[in-house]
Amino acid sequence: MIKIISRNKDIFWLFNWIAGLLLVYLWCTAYLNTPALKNVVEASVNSFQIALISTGFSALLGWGFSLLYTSSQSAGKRTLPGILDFFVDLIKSIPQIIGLLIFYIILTVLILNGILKTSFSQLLFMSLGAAFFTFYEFMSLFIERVNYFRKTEFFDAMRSNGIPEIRIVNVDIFLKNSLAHIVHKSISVFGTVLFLQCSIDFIISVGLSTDVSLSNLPLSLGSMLAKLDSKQDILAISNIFTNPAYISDLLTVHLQGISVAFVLIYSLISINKMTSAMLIKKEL
Amino acid sequence: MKSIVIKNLSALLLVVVISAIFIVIIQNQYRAERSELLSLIEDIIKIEGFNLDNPSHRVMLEESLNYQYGSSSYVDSVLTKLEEYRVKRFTDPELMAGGVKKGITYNKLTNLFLPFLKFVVIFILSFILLYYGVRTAALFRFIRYKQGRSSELEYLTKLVLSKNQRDIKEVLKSICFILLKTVAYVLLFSPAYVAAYAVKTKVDTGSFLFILLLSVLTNGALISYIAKFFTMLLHESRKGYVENAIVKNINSNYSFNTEDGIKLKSLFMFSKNFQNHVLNQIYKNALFQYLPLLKIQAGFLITGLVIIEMALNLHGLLFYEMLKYVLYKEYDLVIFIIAGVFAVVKITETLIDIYYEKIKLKFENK
Repeated sequence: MIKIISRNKDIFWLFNWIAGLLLVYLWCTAYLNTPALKNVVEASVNSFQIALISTGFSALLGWGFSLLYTSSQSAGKRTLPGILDFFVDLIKSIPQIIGLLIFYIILTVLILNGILKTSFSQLLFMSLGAAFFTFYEFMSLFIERVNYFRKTEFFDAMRSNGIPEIRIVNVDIFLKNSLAHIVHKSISVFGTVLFLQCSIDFIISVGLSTDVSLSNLPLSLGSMLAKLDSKQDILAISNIFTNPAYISDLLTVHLQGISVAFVLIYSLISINKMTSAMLIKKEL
Repeated sequence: MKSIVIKNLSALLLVVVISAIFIVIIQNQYRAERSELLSLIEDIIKIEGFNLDNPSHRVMLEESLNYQYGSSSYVDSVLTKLEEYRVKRFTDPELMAGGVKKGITYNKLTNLFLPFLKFVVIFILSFILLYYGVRTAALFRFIRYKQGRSSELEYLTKLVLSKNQRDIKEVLKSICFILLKTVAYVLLFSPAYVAAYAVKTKVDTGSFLFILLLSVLTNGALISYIAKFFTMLLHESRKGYVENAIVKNINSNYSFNTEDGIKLKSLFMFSKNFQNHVLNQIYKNALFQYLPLLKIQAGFLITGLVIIEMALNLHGLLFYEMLKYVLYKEYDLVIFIIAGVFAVVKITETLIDIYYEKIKLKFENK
């Protein structure tokens, strides 16, 4: 087991990530008060949950659109791929955070009108919003994989054996020959969504929380960071420039903000390291 | 080339048209809301000496209305509208004391000009800085990889475990490097608001230079694209032509500042050229593949700028103004700003596409 972990840097970083999060949890149980600890855990779980659901939605949307694109391409149609290209380009050109902000304005309206009442439905809506601005990454990957195999004899050989194109694309290309690419893309999108969702939650919590009380929206790492006591904890970091011994205070007294920031940053580092290691290992 | 311009322009046109439609709808809605609000209460609020904030005036008004019309639904609606009007005088910019007309006005547009200009300048400068930083850092990482120094931690372990006499200086140097690298990693991956709050008491977080540095160094912008460019360099270095070139005696030594190696000066120049070295071709081919990614990089950079300006409440900057308009529910102005940002992205994309096509012609010997 240890050999596998040390040889595979991606798995090594996955274990590192989990171990790091566990270590923070154990540290927090010792030094952080129970309500704050509960909030940190809830915020982390919600953020990871949104990122995970969003990655799923994103993959599904990307897969659906890529099938539509490639099937109409192989049928010799040019209009539909052209229209899809145009609209995907359009979505790509909208900075993701602005897109998410628009989604949050819609979310606020839906909550105020009593349409999205449960926190799970709000969570799903937030995930869908993030997926809408990341699905094109999956779509490009799926199209690229199909086009790559179309250029090889593999595709024509299977077609001449009477295997339907939809099966070749889904089973032989995606499932059997692109799994590493899909896993890699999923991890990368997971990281992007985690970052975007925390950032938008931070912005909303800092400046836009007049209509919808923060307690109405599911707690996330971003909204936790925006809390006054967390902000004060982060502000305290600058004390170590003049007094390095203050680091012990940071890890005990200012633990709420520090632990939330650590969970977020450490997760982003680990995710990036995992994807980089996968790229090199699998030569993607 | 023409098709690229047409494609991007048509996307821009579509967004402008959709934005214009939404702006007109929203402005009509403002007018309808205003006339609906004022239709019942216009005469009452004009009564001389009547103070809506005075509770006794309100009670007197209610009694007078009840006397005149009886306890009817009409009286209820008038009182509700009056209360709504009273609250909106504190939240609605148009009804606030010295308030301005809600929505897009000439004055507001001229006030937005300077923040927009600042945004464009910051965007251009940070884009150039990021482009330089990504290439330089990825090349540095690639050269170190080729030198066989992939992990400093492994190097330190080797140093500590070596049976020969340990070079304490080298060990300390390695530890310092690891510590610096850790701090750099934390900074590079931290969201801008965390990094800015961490130094807020020591640094002026609203300064132009700080925003510029924050947009390039934080939010994972630099580090993600370094990783992407490094992978492209790695891919290129595995191609057959590299071995061909080495066989033909082109320099392939990756040591710094040796005769057949790589000059550090060339690495840090903006326009990089590693003459007579195989890295030159690897770099140029990788850069050609990286060019389309610049479009995504531009979008990501703008995302970072939005986060910085909104999260740090930087007054006088475009996205702070946008946040303010979202808060005041002046959605027509929000749409106007978004359309402006979209135009900046599209112009950047068009320029990148044109440059890419030019380089492509060169690569294809056309």
